[in-house]
Amino acid sequence: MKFKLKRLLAQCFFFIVANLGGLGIKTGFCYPFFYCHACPTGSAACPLRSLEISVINKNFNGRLFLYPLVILGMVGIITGRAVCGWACPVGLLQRATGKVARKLKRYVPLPKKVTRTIDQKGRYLKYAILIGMVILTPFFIGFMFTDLCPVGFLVGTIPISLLNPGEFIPSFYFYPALVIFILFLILIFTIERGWCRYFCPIGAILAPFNKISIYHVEVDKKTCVHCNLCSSVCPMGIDIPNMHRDPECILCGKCVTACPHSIIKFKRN
Amino acid sequence: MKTLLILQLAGFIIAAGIFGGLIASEDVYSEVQQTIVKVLCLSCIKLTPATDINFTFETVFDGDHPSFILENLSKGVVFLAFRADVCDACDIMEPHLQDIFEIDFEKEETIVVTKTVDGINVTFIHISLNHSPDYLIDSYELYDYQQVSGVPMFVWITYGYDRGFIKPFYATGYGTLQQNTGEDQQQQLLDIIEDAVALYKQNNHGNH
Repeated sequence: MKFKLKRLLAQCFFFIVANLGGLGIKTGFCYPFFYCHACPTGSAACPLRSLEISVINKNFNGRLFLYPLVILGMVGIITGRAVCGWACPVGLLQRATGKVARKLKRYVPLPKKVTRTIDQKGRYLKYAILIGMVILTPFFIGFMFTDLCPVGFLVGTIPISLLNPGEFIPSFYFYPALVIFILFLILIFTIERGWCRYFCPIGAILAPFNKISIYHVEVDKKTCVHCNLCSSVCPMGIDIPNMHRDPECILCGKCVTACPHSIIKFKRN
Repeated sequence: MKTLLILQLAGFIIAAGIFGGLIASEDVYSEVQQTIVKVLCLSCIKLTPATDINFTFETVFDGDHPSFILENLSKGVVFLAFRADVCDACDIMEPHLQDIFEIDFEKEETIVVTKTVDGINVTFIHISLNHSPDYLIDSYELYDYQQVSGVPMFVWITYGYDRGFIKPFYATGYGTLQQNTGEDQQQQLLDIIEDAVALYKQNNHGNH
């Protein structure tokens, strides 16, 4: 079976698992990826919500704080950020929109130096969002990232409004969230994996695990001819020939397939 | 290589150990299930229920009114306020409840307090879905008329006349009751309490 197809099947499988709530299966686990419990068919809790609730309004609930972190930790130690590439439903969505982003990039070329600097610095944004909006603002002022989350808007607000016409009215956060949702759509249609690269707080939790994860992608630098075919197909925009356990790698395997000399491989150690 | 392997093993054992410990010894699984997954997170969906608050006899799934409701109803109107620990709209509505019933309480507290309105007792029961006893929490589903599963949820229970019988008659409201200002929200709570009291006065005698 083709590698690309295997990954698509895995993503579809996890999408179904994430939506088992439609069959009445509402568990007490946290998703190890980005998905929302407010989705009418959601089957588990958003790990970010659990983190936010654990620190809300200067209270600290150690159990709720540790619970999502250890779930993400176990997954992260084994696979690193592979869940972003193989399991996350938002990743699946971006896989579809990535094709548009790629075409757009060809037609609207921006100066490489500028885009590279913004791209490199922008990747730290997700860590700032994780610490700032998931931990600090809930703790100090009670404002939570999930109040404005565009994924909650996509899989919660829109389906609930459509399934229950006239039964709900916009709340205080609706319009700011709508603006963020529109920006989210623009982002994922213009930058391949833009959400994963710059904004995903779950990605920020998982990224450091790439440094120690059992599964990872390795490049044989000695035999690499620097043709850069791998970098050109990488959805995360990683400089693959110089990569070593890069925190941004989502183990999608596109570079493994693209390498003409087969020197990029999945490793397990 | 050896250091990395030790790190991986140690990290996984620690994470798995904590996870196992949390699942086995704490009620974190059911806490997440009951307070995050099963409850519709109104702030996550950025919506609030648009409900007209009307009195009805029909409980959800035709369930029987719990004994604590019937016991308090025999003394007067019952007013329930359900909330969760993390709930923006609950925080907005809570001061109004404290004003109306002239009492201070914490959001985690289960409160039962009685006030007289127009000569009729109104028993106010504040129920936290995270901390209150199960028999109180279980009444939530019974009165969640629109099956919104969201908080805050307010329930006014009084008596009503139904084809020859006097029966418990209740109304359910959600969120900020579709009112934008604090004044209107408080007035809406009071108006329905007064309606419930008027209905109680009309129908209470028929109950005996």
